[in-house]
Amino acid sequence: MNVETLIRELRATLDDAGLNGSFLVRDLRSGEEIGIEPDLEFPIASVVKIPLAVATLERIRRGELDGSTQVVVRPGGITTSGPTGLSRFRHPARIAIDDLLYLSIAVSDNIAADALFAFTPPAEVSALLHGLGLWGIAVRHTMRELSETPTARLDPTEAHLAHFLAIEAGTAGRGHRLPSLDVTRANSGSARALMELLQALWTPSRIDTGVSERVRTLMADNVLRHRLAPDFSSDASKWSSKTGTLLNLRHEIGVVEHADGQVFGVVVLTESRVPAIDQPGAEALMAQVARTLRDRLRQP
Amino acid sequence: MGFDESLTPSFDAVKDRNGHFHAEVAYADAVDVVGACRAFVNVSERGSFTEGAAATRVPQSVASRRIAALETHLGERLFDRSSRGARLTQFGRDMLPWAKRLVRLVDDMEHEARRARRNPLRLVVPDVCTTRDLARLDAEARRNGVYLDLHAAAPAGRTELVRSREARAALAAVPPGDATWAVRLGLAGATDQIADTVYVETLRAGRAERSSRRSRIWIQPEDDVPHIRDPMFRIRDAVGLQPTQVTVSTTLAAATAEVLGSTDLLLCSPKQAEELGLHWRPVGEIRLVRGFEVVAAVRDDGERLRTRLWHAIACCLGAHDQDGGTP
Repeated sequence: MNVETLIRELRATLDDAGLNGSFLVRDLRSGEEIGIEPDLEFPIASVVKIPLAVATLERIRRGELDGSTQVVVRPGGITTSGPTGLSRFRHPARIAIDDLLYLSIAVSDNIAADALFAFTPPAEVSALLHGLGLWGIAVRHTMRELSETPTARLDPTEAHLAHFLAIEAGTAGRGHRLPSLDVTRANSGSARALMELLQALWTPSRIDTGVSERVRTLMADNVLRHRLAPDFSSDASKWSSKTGTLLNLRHEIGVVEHADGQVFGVVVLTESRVPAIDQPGAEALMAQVARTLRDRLRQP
Repeated sequence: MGFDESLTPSFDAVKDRNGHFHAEVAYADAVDVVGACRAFVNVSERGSFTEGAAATRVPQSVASRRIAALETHLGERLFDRSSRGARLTQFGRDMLPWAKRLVRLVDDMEHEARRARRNPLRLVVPDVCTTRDLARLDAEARRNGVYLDLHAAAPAGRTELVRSREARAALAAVPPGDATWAVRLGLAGATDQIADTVYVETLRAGRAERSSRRSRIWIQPEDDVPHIRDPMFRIRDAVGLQPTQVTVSTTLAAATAEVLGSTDLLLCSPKQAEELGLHWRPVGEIRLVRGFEVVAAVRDDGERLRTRLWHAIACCLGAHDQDGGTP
């Protein structure tokens, strides 16, 4: 089957499942890649925690911050399901910057990420990325704005209405009535821009090797492994990644390192047309499409 | 004017059109002008009170009394009673053409009333009703004195035809709470190898099965209404089916064809499943009911259909009777 036919079929499968997606798989050694709409911009949700980690670690390297600095984190007071870690703490906690990084990346903790944003605000993260030669990822706001979706205002039994709103309230040019879903106002980026970030973290780049090594370790420790991990991890391969989920958006970017030395970057950004909160079918399909593309790319 | 026995006020037992007897005031202020004119015309045509009364189908005494009342009403004798038989006076001859016109007008009016009563009531019914059902409904309606002109249309078309006055009444698709007739919906498949109750969630593909074809649920156009379609879509999304797994079909035939050749299921009533040769099962997660209510341009028509034809329409729709069973 030629690549065009394969991609046409994958698009049809995604459409049947109510998914619009941007997929990009790249052999990080050779630079060869294959994708579906890789230049489409999406709000990146929690994926922004990787640039935040890069910026924070870079500032620690420069000596502007000390990783052992302890911060008192107030309890999140969030009771809706979804948020993890400190967001669900009931009492104040003292945590060092280094450990906030772990919580932010490995368990996607929004309160931990915002504690880091307090040291390095969104605009500074952006500037640092540009300084490292990474363009195309817009960091505009902290995590708190992300949780200000209609879901927080609705009864849990009506949460599907928030999803319906998310699906229907889009405007021309990938804008949206909800700021956190509007690519011109939210933290956003395309699959290609995020792939450049993975490439810079896994291959020699302007990012300091100590910084990139720490980010890779944090991503390997990711505990959210229901989306792409089942199709990429095995005893013969290592899957390091970060997910991003917001209303009808489901993303994951990661790298699979095979025992034979092959390394593939995988970026999957999707939006669903199905107004339901739990969509295991969609998660499985995202992984299936990403795997099919990777398998295709791996063919000599 | 001399004394005439027939002008004396008295009462008489008179049998009316419906076979009831009443005491008729033979001479009263309210004169039955039409009845009297009928007697007047018949007696004058036959030249005899006896024969004229017979033609009017009243006893001679009644005919005489009515004519006498008319004479009093008009203020002059119509017949010269001195001669043998019934000879018209000059006044009687002057009045006769008017009496004839009045009688003819009343006859025409009564005939028109009979015709109007038989004027068929154009009723728009769901297009899922079979020819046999419609014929039985029509026959049953005639037995109840309602003449129907049946037209079939999809839900939106039915109410539109009444709004535009092209039809007098329609069986509109309404939520069960507003319905006069209720039809329970379920899922029907081509084989009987399906569970006693079909849970929509069983159509969700397991994590391990990837490429196998996913069974679908087809919604027929009759059920493409918010109170049935939307809960069905919500259940689809909530239990994790793919969007294409619950689809509205363009026609019932197309939906049935999909079901016959596969493991797909059709959302339909038990009666439809039987007609289509499919096996019907209730839905596990939700109770879906097709509701029907009469919408009529004139309130009377609606009332007649609801009361006189409740059972016939219930049979036609496959609705439950009041006890919950199917008629």
